[in-house]
Amino acid sequence: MNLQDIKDVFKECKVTPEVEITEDVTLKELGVDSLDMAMIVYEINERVDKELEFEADQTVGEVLEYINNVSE
Amino acid sequence: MFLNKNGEEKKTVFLFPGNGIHQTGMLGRLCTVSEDIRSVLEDLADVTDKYTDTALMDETVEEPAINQLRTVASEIAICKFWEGCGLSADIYIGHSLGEYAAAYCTGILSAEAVVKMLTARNGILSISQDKLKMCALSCSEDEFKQIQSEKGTNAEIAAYNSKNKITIVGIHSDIDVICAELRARKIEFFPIQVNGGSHSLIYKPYKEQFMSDSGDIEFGVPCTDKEIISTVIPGAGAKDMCTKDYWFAHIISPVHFSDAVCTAVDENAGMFVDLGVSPNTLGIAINNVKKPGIKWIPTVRVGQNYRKQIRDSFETISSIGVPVIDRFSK
Repeated sequence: MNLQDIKDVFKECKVTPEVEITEDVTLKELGVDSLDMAMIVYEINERVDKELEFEADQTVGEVLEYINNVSE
Repeated sequence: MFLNKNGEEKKTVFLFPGNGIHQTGMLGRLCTVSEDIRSVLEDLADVTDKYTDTALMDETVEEPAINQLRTVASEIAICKFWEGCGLSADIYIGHSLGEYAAAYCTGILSAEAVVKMLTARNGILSISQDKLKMCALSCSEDEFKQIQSEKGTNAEIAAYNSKNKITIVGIHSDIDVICAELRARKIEFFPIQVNGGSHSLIYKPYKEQFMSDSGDIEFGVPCTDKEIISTVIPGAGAKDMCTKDYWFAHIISPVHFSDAVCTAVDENAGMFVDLGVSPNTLGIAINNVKKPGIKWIPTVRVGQNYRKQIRDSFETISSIGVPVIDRFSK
C-alpha cells in the first residue's frame, strides 16, 4: 500500500482531508474524527485483508509502514 | 435486499441512535433538506403536541422530555426520507431511545404510543435526574468489573457497544471514582451529556408507575417484511415488543447493541445506514464487524452541510448498485 492508496481510501470513505495528505501529517491533522477513523480502518483492513488498528496521532507514513510490514 | 458487486444478496440495516445525538435546532435544519422530511415532522407534531406542553417544532424551548421526542421524531423523519428515496431496510436496530423510532418504523408503535410511553419513561427517569450520570468507556466489561471490584463502586453497564466500548450508569460519586481510575490507567472515557441516566435497575421499583402513567396503549401490527432486532432482550421479536412490559424492561435493562449488530451481520447484512443527525451508532457498529464488504452510510453529520452529506451518501449507495431516487428538489 502506498500514499496514493491512502488517498483512495479517504476518497472511498468520503472523508475530505483538512490538509494535503502527505506521509508527514498525522490522521488527526487531516481532520479525521472518530467515525472517519472507524471507516478508514475498516476500508484499509478490507484492502489488505488484515485486522489492524491505528491511532489518530500516527502519521500517514507510520500507518503505511505498519500496514506494509504486517502485510509482507 | 440488494445485490453486492459479487452478485450476492445482502440486507440493508437501518440504525437509530440514542438520545445523545440531540442538537439544538436539528428539526429546523432537517426541514431545509427536504419537504418530505418537513411533512413527516409536521404529521408527528400534530400527534405529539396533544400530549406535551411544548410544541415539537418549537425548538426555542428545550427540556429533556421534548428533546427526547425530537430525537425520535428526527430519526423517524430520516427513515421515511430514505424510504421515499426508494431505500428501504430489511433490518431495524435502535440504540436505547432509538429503539422507539425503530419500533415506530416497523409498525409496532404508533406516534401516540411513542409519546405516551416516552412521557411515562421520562417521568421515571426524572426521579434520579440529579443522582445518576452516564459515561462511555473504552475498555472491556472485564476491566470495568475489575475496577468496580477494586474500588467498591456499584455502577452498572448501561450499554454493550462493542468488545472494548461500554457505557456505564451510576451515582455521581461512583462514576467519579471510576473515571479517576480510568484516568490513572490511561483508558479513554467521556461523560455522556444526557439528563440523569437510563438503563439502570435503580428504576425497578417504578414499574407500576410506568404502567399507570403510560395509560392505554394500542400496539400495532408489526411489518412482516421488516425485522427489528431487540437491543433490550436478545432474541426478542417484534411480537414481544408489543407489550408495556417490554418497554419497562427497556428502562431498566442494558442495551445489547453489539449483539444486535453481530446478529445482523450473521443474517447477511451488507449495508448499515445511520439515521441520526450525528451518526454515533455507525462508528460503534463498525467496531463490531470484521467481515469485509459492508458499506457504512451516515445520513447527516455534525458540522457538515446536511445536503452535501446526503448527496455523498446517495453516491455511495448508488455506487454499489442500489437504486435511490433524489428527492431533494421535491
